[in-house]
Amino acid sequence: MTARLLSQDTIELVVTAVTFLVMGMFLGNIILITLGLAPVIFLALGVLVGQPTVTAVERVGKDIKVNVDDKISDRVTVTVGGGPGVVTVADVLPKSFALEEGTNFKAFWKGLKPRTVEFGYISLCPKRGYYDIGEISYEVRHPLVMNANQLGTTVAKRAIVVQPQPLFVRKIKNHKSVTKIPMPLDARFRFGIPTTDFREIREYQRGDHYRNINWKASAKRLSYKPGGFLVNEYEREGKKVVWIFLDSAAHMGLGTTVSNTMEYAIRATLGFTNFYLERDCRVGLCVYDHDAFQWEGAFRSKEKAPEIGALEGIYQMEELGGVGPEPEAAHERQRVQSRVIFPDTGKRQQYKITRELLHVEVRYSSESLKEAIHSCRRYIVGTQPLFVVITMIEAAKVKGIMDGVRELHRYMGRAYGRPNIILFNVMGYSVAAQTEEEKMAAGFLTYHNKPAYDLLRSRGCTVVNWDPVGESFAQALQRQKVSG
Amino acid sequence: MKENAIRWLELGVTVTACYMAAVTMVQTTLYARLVDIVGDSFVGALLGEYIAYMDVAVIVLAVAGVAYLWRRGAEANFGRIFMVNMLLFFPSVLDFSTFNWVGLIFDLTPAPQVTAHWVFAVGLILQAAYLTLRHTVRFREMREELLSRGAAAEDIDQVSGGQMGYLIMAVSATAALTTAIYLVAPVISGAAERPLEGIPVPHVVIGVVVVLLIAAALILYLRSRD
Repeated sequence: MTARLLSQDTIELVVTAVTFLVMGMFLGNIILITLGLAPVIFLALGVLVGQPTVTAVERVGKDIKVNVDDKISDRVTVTVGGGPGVVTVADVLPKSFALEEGTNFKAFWKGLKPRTVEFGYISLCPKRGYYDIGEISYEVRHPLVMNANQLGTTVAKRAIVVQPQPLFVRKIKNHKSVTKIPMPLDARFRFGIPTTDFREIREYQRGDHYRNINWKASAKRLSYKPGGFLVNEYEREGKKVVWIFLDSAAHMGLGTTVSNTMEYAIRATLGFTNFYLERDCRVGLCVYDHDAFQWEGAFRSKEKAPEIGALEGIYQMEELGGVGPEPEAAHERQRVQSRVIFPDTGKRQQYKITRELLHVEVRYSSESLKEAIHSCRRYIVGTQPLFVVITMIEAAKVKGIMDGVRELHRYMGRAYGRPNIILFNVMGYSVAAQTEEEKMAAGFLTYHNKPAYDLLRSRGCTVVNWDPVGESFAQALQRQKVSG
Repeated sequence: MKENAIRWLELGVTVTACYMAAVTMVQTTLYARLVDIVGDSFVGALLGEYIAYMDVAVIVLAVAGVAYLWRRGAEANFGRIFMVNMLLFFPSVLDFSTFNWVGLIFDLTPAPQVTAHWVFAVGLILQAAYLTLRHTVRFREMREELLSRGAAAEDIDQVSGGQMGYLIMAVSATAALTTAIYLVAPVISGAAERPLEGIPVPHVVIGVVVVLLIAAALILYLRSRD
């Protein structure tokens, strides 16, 4: 750290001194000449006394893991030596943090003696994420502004992990017999040995074992209505699978930096994750970009094609000379790696999903819903999972979801009926609305989306609308039960 | 120290410096000649016996002018205050100059009513005012900057207090050293007279060279520390 001594003020002092000296000589006046020395003496005094030097900066706080809306505290100790002057120290906090008590910026006067200053603060962490507060910056100023300010930083690392707060839905678990929301009990593993847990009575299908025929129920039914036999269906052994698809398109950024649709969607994702993991399900997460359906192309293999040099032994092959690059190549979309966490169970999976969600931002993925499902197809085929798509449904862009639903049908086939799909619609317009007029406009836009909801319902999806401002996550699911 | 205290200190320094410069000016030969000219003109006839109050009027006008400039409070206004003070101070300097060019033009024989020490003291006050005001402006700017960056008001007051204390010390030390040099100057002049007699170059040339050397030495010294 070096000090620049020629500040504008210093130059001005020198010029003033020279002017007096020259005038004094021109007039032959010893008074003016002596007065001309005053700025020089003043300058010399200021330069000789010097300015402060920061010798040590220490942080008390250690690495910490907190939940969203929790508070953290920290203290910083600064030791300053050298000459007198003004010292400012700033412990720069992430933009989303809100200072609750104390200060993270301290300005103080350092006199002739060495000084140690301590300051602290309590800060609110309203947004999830991984924050690395690496440096404490300080600024040292000459008491008479003769030198340029000296800027410096000290390494004082502290990692703060702000975890999103999961939205618990324990209250509605007892309503599964009534609710129309497909719960994990419906999301069966296709293969596996049937257990003794009775599930339902259904129509006989080819391949069903005769031992499963419920003779009593079949006889009762045949007594008043001709038809087939009825068989008992039992739960099958194996973990049930839940796939959560989280939208990271630009419209999810609707709202403020701290309170936006994306934040609520992430909290809902964690809520679903916890709910299903606690019930011993295998939960997978895939982040997609809803807008990407607008520029998605044909699926391309992720494996590299063999180089032409490897085919030298084939003599009949036509020469490739003169063949230029394909015109589409210039417009080819750069595809980002899929953001997928494959289904698994337990606390470890919960940790993995939570850690992934810390980093999720708008445009986190570049795959459309259809492409994301295609990426996960190997884990979908052979199972009949429950799909939870967390997004913000817009009438103008419903095609992206429709394509995704169609893709799901494609990989699951028709043999097992319609797939269980929950479209969890986070109503972003309500999140963004601040004034009464804006709330009214949000209501109109929601009304405008109704045909889109109906269209999606006609495709077998369960649309759950959630207004995060007006109701809790559990209430949204509960309301669905009542109205459904 | 609160900003109001800094402003009141500025006002005190400004008014004192201007008042002293104006009072000194009305006791100079050039000012006496100007009053004579005015008295002989039609303005003098209009004023009649009230011309005796001209000195007071000039002093009040000057003080009111700088008070107005102080009220504006910007750095440029403080520069103007210094210029007004120097303008008022200049006639008294002429009375004690070896080469009184203005006196030669207007055929004036210096007959000041103040001593050289008085003029030096007033000049020193003007320099002290100049140094003080140019720094208090910086201190006020720094207060605003710190406030905008989120510093606590008590911390800012403490910083201002330290700065003002240091400034007063530095200006006082400067004034003391300058006074010492002024008092020692005749002794040095007498001692240097004989060795410099033999140099076949006009003393003005030597003076200019010395001033340039002082300025160059200062700049080179400061640059070497960069």
